[in-house]
Amino acid sequence: MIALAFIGAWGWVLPEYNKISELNVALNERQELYDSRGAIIKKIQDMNKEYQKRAADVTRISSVLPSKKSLAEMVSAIEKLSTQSGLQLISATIAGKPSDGQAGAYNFLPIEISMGGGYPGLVSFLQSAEKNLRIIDITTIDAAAGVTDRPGLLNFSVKGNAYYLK
Amino acid sequence: MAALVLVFSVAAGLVYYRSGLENQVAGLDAALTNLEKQRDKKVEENLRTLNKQLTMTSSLLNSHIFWSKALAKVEALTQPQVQFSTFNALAEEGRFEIKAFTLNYTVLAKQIAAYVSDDSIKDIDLSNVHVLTTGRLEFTIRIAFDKNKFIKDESK
Repeated sequence: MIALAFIGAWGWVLPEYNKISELNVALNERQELYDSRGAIIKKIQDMNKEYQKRAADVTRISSVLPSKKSLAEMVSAIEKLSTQSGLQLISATIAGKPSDGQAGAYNFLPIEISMGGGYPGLVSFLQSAEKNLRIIDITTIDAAAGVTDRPGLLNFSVKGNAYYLK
Repeated sequence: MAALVLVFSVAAGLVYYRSGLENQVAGLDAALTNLEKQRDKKVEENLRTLNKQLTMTSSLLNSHIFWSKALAKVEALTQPQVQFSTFNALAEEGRFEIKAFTLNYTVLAKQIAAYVSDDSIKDIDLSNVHVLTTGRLEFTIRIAFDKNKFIKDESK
């Protein structure tokens, strides 16, 4: 009888005990996963509430560094900047491909503009570009005197970059 | 006999307990699936984009270029008798090149001294100095500047 009891314990009780140990581990893992995921989802929901509450600010931030190229907005901005500065926009090139190799999480949108006008106009253009809601960095400025009979009239070639998210 | 009954009782108890644990695991699996369904991928994407925008905006603003500040500095340092005919400003190379006219070598020397006196200007090269038929001097100055002091907003 005792031998039978030993066999029973060995063949039935021990395997059940092992299974229970494994189930306890699995249960703890799942509980931890559930708690952490629940907390994350709650946090995301709270952040989304804040996001909705601050929709106007979010829109402004999206204008500073848009998630897309937003070429039409860029053209409007350049036209506005040059007009407000009293410069004549002669030509503009805005072209750029998404670049995989560049560091950071943004793409460059190269801008090349030719303008005509006075020096104060150039300074005003630069000041406005520096304060523009969408970040524009002017990297190169070339200025030269225009026609000889109008010494105040200069030709400017300005190159720079705007940015958008990858 | 008692030992056999004891083993049987313990085994039955363990089976019952295991069954309860299996039910709990199944219940948690269902709850996890339910949590997954609660996720709004669009909201998560919006928040991820906003996070990227905030991080990148901060980095871009730190390296933002302010040419108006640099031009104001050049204006302030330029002698009244010096007249620019062209200038080229290159931010990445940290270079500002001016082609200009002036009255004579004295004014030219004063001009160079004025530029050198500014701590944002690291080096100056003078080239192509020649006298025009009008008696004025034409020259080219190449300024190498410290980007952080010349075209960056130092208040940041």
